[in-house]
Amino acid sequence: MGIVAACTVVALAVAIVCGLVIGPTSIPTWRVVGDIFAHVGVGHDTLTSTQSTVVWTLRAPRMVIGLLAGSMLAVAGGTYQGVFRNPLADPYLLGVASGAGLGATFAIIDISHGNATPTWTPLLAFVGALGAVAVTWLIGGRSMRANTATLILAGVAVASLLTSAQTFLLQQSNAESITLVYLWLLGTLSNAGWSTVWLVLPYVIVCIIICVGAGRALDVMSVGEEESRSLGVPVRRVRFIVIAASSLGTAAIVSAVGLIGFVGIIVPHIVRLLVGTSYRRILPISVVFGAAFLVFADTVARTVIAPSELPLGVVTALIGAPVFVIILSLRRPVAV
Amino acid sequence: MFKSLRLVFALFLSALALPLIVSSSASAAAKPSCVVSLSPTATETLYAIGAGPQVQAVDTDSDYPTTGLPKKRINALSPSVEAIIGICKTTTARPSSKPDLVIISYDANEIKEKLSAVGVKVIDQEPPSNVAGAIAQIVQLGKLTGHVKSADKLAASITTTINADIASVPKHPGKTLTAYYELDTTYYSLTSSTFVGSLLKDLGVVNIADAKNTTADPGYPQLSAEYIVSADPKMIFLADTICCKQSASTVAKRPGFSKVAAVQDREVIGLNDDIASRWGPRLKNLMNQLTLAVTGALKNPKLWK
Repeated sequence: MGIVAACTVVALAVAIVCGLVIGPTSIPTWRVVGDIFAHVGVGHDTLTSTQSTVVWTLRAPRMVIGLLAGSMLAVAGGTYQGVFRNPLADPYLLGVASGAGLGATFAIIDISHGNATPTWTPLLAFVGALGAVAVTWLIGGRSMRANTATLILAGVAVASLLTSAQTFLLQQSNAESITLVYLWLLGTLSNAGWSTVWLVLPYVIVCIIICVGAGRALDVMSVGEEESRSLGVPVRRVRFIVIAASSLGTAAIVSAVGLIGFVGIIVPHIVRLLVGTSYRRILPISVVFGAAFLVFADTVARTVIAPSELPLGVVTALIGAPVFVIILSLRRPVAV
Repeated sequence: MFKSLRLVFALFLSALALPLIVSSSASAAAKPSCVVSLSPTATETLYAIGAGPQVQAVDTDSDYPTTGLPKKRINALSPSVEAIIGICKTTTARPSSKPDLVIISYDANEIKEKLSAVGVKVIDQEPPSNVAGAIAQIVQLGKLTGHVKSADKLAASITTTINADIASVPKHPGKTLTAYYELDTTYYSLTSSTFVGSLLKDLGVVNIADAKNTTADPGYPQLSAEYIVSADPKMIFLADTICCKQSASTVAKRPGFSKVAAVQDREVIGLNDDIASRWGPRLKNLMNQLTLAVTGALKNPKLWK
């Protein structure tokens, strides 16, 4: 556990440095590192005005939003897998993705018709994401006491319905809107600035704290519902709080950066293979590992074919899947 | 003898008149009564050359001229053969509902082959790479719809305007007028090898996207905010003012863009998305706007201090 935690922290530090140093604009590493020290009061500025803008106004907020998105999606995936005791659970299980997708599609098409402004896209995506989870909960939440499968099926139904509505809207729209919606669905950190960071930071911090804090309860719940109750764990309340926190944090991230797949499902599984089945270990390590993973993936996404960018969701899958397979083949899979 | 001579003379006159009769009936046949335009550019051109009354259906993106367009609409991205071959109004003189001519600018669902297979004439007018290509398409539509004179007149007018605009830009040796042309908010741009890019090049503009042209997106590379900020263009053209509601103020709010010369010196030019993406009669308007912007930038003292 200690070695894994230390390695994860080192990986995070490397990812942060890569996020600031590597990019389409060639800036010597020593200049960037020197300027980082200058920002904490050691030495003097080593970047030109344009270089400083590139590093601190473009790369830095992008790297920070990558940290927040990776942390949130990974920890949300971990808690969903614990709550539903389902290894295939991910943060989009209850309709967050389809709700956000429908909201964003509605906004983008309305923008092209002159009825909305670009700020509507994250707003409607956020509302759509939370609305979808709320409807799923209303449909399947009552039977949670008996069986979590009902809630999952309700999520599948809501997601299908909203995806159909989104497809209909796209079919009725023009080519430009379809392109923009498609690019939004692929997810990107390229539009992130400090304002985006300040917007999602409160949600993400609070939600991560709640999710990580639920690790002990999730460990107890993994032995079974009746047993958990007999041990004094308020199962229904824990489920509600954890699902609400995971969904809220995921909705905030999705509204800011679009749909980034794979992180929420693969990171908790990789961490589980490395540190065992206890959520008290899985969740905090997932926060750090998810952050490092997404920042590293974004660095690859924006440099491989620079100045064009690869879709971030594609990169997370291309990097994450082989890593997962390697770890899976080295370690014996453990139960959720 | 005299009768025979008269007969020969009559036959001779008939022989002379025959080509005229054939020619006349051929041009009548060549003037289609039902035209379907699945290209917004072609729609604009058809109405500009006087072929509007012959147009019975257009695609869902056609929105100019603002009045007089037919109500029948077809989605050009997913066109249906069945819908198209049944779209024309039938009369006793014209019993078939099949259009005489369909114009496309993008061959979605292999519609050209499918319509040709059922006997419908399809003309593919893809985006040209230069002004000559655009002019050729206007002339072609004139010939196909029986409006040769007005099409030639429109083509000549566009050519004259563009040449005059290019000549009006002051020579600027020693001044490198760099520009970024934005197609959407994900930083897709265009190079000088494209139609609009060639117009900018003719005006003496150095396009920052030229250095990043790729085989993956020939002519239309995707740039990044970092690349644009580092290139520090003196002008920014926004061709996403309608689709994405972009403007000088929204660009200034983007991370890092407040330091770009074009933003600092107020050289962010908003273009009408539709005019900037079509190569029809409103090409003159686009060229006029580009010329005014370039001339203004060359006279902006802040840019050249």
